[in-house]
Amino acid sequence: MPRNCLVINLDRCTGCDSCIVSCKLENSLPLGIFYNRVIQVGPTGQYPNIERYNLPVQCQQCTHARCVEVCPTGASYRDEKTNIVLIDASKCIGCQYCLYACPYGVRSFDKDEGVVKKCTLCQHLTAKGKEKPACVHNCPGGARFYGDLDDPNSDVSRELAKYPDECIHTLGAPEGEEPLTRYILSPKYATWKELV
Amino acid sequence: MGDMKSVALWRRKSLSKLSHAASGLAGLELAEKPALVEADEEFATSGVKLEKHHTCCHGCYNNCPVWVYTEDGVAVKIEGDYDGTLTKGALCTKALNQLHLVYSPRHILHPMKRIGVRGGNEWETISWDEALNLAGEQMALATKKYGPYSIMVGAGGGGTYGNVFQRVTQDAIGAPVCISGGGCQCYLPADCAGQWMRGGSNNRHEGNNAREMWNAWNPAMECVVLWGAQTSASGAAYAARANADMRERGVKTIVVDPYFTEEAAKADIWLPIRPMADIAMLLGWFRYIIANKLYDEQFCKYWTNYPFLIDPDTRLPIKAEEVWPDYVNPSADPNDVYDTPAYVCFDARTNSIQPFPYTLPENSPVDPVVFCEAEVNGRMCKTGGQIQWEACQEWTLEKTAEVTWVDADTIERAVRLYATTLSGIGTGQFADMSELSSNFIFGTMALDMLCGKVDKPGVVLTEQKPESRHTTRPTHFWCGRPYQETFGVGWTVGLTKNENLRRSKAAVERWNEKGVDGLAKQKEFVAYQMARLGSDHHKAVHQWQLNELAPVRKALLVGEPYKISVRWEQSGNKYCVMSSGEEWNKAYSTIDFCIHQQPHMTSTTFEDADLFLPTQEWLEFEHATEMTTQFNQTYMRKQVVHLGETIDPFILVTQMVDKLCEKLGGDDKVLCRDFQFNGTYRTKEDIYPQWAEMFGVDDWAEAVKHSEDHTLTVPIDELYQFYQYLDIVDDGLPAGFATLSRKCEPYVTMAVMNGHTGFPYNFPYEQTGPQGEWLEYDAVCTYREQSENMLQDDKEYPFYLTTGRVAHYHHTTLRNAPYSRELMPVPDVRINPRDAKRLGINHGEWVELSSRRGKTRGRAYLTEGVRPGVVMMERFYFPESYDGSQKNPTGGWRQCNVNLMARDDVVNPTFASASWRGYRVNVVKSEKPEGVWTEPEEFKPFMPDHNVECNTQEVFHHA
Repeated sequence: MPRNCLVINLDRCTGCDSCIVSCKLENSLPLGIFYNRVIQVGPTGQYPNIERYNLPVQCQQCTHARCVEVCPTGASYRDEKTNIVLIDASKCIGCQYCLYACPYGVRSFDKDEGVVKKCTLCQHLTAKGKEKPACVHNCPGGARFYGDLDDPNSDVSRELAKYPDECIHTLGAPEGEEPLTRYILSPKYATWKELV
Repeated sequence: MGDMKSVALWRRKSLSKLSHAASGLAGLELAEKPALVEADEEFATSGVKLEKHHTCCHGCYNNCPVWVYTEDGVAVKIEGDYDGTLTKGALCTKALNQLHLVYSPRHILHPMKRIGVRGGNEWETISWDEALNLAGEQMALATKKYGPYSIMVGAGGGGTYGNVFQRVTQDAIGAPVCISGGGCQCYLPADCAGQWMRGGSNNRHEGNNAREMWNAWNPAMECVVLWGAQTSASGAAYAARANADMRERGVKTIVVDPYFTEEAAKADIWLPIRPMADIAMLLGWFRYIIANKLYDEQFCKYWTNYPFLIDPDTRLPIKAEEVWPDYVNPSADPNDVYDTPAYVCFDARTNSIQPFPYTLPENSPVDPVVFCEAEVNGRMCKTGGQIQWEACQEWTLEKTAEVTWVDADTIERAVRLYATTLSGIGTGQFADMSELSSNFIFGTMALDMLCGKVDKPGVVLTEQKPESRHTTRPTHFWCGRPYQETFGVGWTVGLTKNENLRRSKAAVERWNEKGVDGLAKQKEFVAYQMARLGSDHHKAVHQWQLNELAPVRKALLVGEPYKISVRWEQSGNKYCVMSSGEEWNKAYSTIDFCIHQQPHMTSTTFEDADLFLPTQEWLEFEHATEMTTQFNQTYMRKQVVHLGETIDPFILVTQMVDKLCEKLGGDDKVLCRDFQFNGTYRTKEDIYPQWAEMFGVDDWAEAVKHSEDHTLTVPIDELYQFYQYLDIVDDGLPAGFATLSRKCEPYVTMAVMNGHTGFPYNFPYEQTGPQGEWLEYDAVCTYREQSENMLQDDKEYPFYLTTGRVAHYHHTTLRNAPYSRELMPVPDVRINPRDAKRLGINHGEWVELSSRRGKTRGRAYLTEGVRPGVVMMERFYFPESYDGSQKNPTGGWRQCNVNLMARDDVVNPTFASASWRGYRVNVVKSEKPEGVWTEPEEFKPFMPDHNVECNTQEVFHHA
């Protein structure tokens, strides 16, 4: 099964929020609902001895997705074909257990529709393998990559291959979630901070 | 639109439709469907017409290429073009948000006339005929009553499509007063410096200069200095992308910035400079490089004017003939057309002063000494290099560190890296918005020249594209408009005085032949030029036909030296981008009639406008030349949609002048009616053939219908052109540079001459100082501080204010884009946590800032990215303040407007640059101001409205 996910190169990210707006327009998200956010980590230290980086965060496509485990209706599920975590809005009862279970805060509750929403890796664009998610396509820094971690020729694998292990990070996994999203951050720019 | 007399709030769309829009309308629903990929098949059978259009963004000046998807003519998606040489598909929030701006319920689609009092915010829709009649009548009335100087034009970036159409409109009607929040405060100084110092482009990142750092094809650059340049904010897509690629290639960066910008965070060396201490830092670099002989001596000797001996009285380089009257200049043009002067230097071979003719270095009869003084005609004269050396001599590393607040070791590491690598300085606009504008741009350009970082691989100061190579001695006129050909006014640098005079006389003669008194017309033009307010003190304002700001305000208030009656505002929101808002508000109230043209209403419309003329958003606007080039590509800017009766501003200004002439009784009643066509056109049909030819298509209107990419691309191998100054041209000499001396001029002779007589703008006439005197502008980088600076002990205003760019907004645009506002609803006041703690301010709390001139509010953003004692804030205004839902509607420019504290009472002597940054402030805890939306849901009234008159015809057609 493929392990499709995003890889985000923080050495290239400028924190411009284009990924947020691309995503919102592509997915027609209402005001106040976000599939992704960009967190500024730092500056840490004291001026001028400081460092910082931008951390875009969206559904991490966990191998052990707690959101799927806690969903009482099967609305949060792992798609058999693509192996990615999705939400079937028709089954969602809006209980929001998944919001509590997700350690990354990347799910939003749409009050108007009464359902939970999250990043789909732009399945409507990517399913046939031709297009990239909107946030990846439009990323100003060229910092975002999409593809299968297990395919050595995928965009994500090729980008990761450029960097030594010390530059490659994942968000913390308090319950052993094993998030797929990889972040690249070179120590010469900033030290990776464990935030979760 | 039937009910002509209805009172309209912005647009006659009901609130129910707005809320419908907010919940997602037809076009955008497409994307919600499970798969756009399936859309192709679905659309093929559904009868919905799906099209793809190639065009380019105009959310700022960078023109990123895009693909726009339409569904039955409604734009539903914008995405970056993978074929953009630098962007590679990238798009920033400004570009993406166009979908919300073009369909914004605030995008005005019909001309509107104010009813009731100014500020009452009541409007009625009128026809274009009525609008033009009204505007024409009012302008004609003012002209008859007070003369053409009484019509004032407002220019500026952000929402406008360039400045050329404004300038030629002024020229046509002879209206000298034009002001801009930018201009003297943005890019004009760099434009002058590029032309004056090397006869070409400058070192600004904006404006398609400084491109060698992005040369991924034949990379040579080892290091770039980003001096006050937030490239990833000002060029949020293309520059961010290219910079990331550049860093990945291993190009080192030195970032000089008081704020810990994106660039600073990724810099190899960051110089966390005291805000506005840049001139001290530059002088520290000059001294270190000269004292340690890190400069390029050969280049300085033969390709700069540093070795020329300077007359201590005139401050001009001495010409050989002034010392040796019988001297025969071997490089002079026997036809007396092209100018190649010989100067005077101190020759190391003969240990004496000698004539220094222009030759290839190997053919030079002299070995000029760069830094020295020598006796010439009985007076001790210094070389240009010596004058720069004396200006920097005291700036040891220790002193530079003491004054700039950056430690000496870091400065030394930076300057050594810069001086010992293939590198160059790329600058941002920051210093233009200060009293230091000339000192900074002259200094940064001159440093690169001192180090020989000119016109070769791996440096910033290069001139690109094949057409920049020369076959004759390069010449330069300060703009592309034919003032010399039409009025016989202005000096072409590189031509002799006699040739300039011949051209002037020929122009006068051409008028005479047409039966018009040519000399009188020339004098009328020169009088119009010199009537620009403040231009007697700050003569470089002529570069962009601007005026010093404060004297314009005074003229409005007191009617001196002449009455200004009509204001024709063609920029977005002057209240947001300029200082002294309250004073301007009073001054503008004296205006008899105010016309505002923009795609959206702003504070300016609310406060001042009597007539609002709706112009096009960029998805509605087509053009072939204006804002269509990025790097090596020129895009066909296509009209993808057209709403209501919005109009192309180029056509609008032409139609307005037509109407003015009609009301005045003929084209001969204005200064030069046809001059306007050096940039504008009456209808699309008039200009299409030119555009079609440029893009090599038979028919423009046909071409834009196809989903074809018509981009014109300069091959990379042809784009990068080096060592152009060494090309041997038709006089047998190396081409050199399009400057007075044919060499780089780090000693800025043009600045001296400009101060004396207004040269080159009014030749053969002279504009001296207010008392007929010569004014003396700096010719080299000279130490200056802002009048209010951080070295002062100021108990009343203990903080120092600086500003910076954000990626989300350009100038005053996009404050009505809901997806930007929910991310950045109000301006942050960035303040150090240690200062905030002392003042009891928490992150996200409201604060009030005040200066000696005004006060405003913002939301505290605590960050170690700013130095203690410094605050940083971005300009802002709130279009929601005059939303129909507000109990007390206002213009929205007082609540959080950093520029209310700024100043234009002290300005840069050369460029009249006011200070939009770099002054003392105080900070106290405060409350949220009224009429400001901060929560995402509040922005629903700004969400797009697709239920409008889509894809209507252009208003004006060929007769």
